[in-house]
Amino acid sequence: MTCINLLPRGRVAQLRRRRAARRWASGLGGYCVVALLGVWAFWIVGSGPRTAGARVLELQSTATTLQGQIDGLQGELQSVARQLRALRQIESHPDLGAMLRLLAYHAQGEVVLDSCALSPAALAKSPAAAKSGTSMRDGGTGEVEGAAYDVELRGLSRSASAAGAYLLRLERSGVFEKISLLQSDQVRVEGADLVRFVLRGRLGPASGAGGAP
Amino acid sequence: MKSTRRTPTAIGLHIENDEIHAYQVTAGGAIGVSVPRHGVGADGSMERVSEAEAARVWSVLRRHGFQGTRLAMLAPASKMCIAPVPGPPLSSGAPVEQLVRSEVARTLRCDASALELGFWELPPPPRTREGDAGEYLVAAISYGDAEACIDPFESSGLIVERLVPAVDALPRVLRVDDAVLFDVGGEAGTLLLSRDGAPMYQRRIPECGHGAIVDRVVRLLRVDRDAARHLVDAYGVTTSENDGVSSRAEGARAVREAADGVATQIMDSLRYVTHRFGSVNVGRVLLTGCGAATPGLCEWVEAQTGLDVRVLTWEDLLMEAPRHAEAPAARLVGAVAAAASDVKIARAAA
Repeated sequence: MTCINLLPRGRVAQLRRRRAARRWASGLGGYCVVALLGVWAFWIVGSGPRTAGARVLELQSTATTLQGQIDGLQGELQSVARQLRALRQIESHPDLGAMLRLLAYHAQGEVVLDSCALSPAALAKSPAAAKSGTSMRDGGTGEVEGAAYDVELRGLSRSASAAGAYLLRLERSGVFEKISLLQSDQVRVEGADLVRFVLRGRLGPASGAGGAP
Repeated sequence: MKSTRRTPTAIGLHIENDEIHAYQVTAGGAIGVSVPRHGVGADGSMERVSEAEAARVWSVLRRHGFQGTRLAMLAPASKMCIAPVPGPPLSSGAPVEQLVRSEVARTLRCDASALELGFWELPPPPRTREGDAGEYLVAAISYGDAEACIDPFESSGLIVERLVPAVDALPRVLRVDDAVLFDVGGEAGTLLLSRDGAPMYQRRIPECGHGAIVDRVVRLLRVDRDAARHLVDAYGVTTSENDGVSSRAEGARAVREAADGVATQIMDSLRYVTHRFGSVNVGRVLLTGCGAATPGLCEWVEAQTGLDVRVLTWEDLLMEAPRHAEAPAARLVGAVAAAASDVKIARAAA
């Protein structure tokens, strides 16, 4: 049994609005408090072991990144090493093209070359190298630092003197450390008397293979 | 009935001529206070509560431990229109509220939309045939009067949530249902008869109020109002005419005349009620209000009416007695009823 209320209707409506607003405000406040408590609880729960795990993951990621960087650097290093090796090889080899141009230039029409063989010269070990047990070859590459090469030239000339002149001209060019006539035979080729000769010269480390003819 | 409430009830407020009564049930128990009013006219006329007075009353209530800012006020009886209004029976399906509202608005000469009312269907008179018009007891107040009553307290930061008529609120808190409630209030005497917790009959008798008794003594003895009030409150009808103090004897005679008026009004009302509603089960009269404690009044009225007449006590109410035992239930009953207006009361548990 409720008691009647003679409060004017406008005031009753105002009271209801005020009550509803208060209820909304309290509900909203409660919701915010609960939400904050939830966030706080999640933060509390997640800040323990999970942080260590996250740190391990972070360190793992850093290690992976560093490993990648190291791999990259190693790749670059290998590339540089390859370039360096190529440069060294290029540097240690004589300019055979120049040598061939030199050989052709000094032939002067009196000499015809059959073949030109280039082979590394077998050098005697230096005392220091023999003592340490190391050779002049670099590690594993099979290349010879400051290697000397033997050049064997086979050809025909009009005469023995032409072959000798050819030898002298080559010797004077200064390309060869030493050059010698190994063989000189009289042969007849298509009705003409020619001289078959074999020359061997040595291209030393100090020899300027790229020198001007 | 011990309080088990965890939240306090609204503060029940009953404004009378010379006092403002307040009552509240809190978790710590009930509180009941009567705050004397200042600035009451020399003739005892009721003045509107000003904002300053409302603020003062509120500060007094806070000092006494009243909690919250919710107020439930007893509507001022002098501004209420309480009258039986004829209308079609509720069972007819007619818009009874609109008809009653327009009838009351016509009586009060105000706009029907500018008043608030409540009404109760009265029991049909004996020998009523089917289809006869019904009758309603209506309690109405205009918005203007209600606002004038509410505004001073709202200005003090209080929230008036209920404005309840005594005719509805008082029967709700009464433990007994076979009693005539006679309020010897400061402004007027009010007789209330209820059945099953619902009001059935009310009659407002200005000449039976405490103020009217004091006025009678003032006129008879030609003393000032305070002296007359003292005579009435201190001696009432108990002073014998042979005690040698003529003023007391004259005062007692005046009070007896007023008491005679009370007895006459009670008997007249009972006769009317018996005629109107058939047999009524009334075995006692409970006096309330500031004049209820007038010495000898109960005995005098009892002798005149032959009924069991006594002052209302806390045992007669369904609400808890205040912590201060001296708080009189007869004075605070209006505030108690107002505070209980938004409380569910189990009458069967009484």
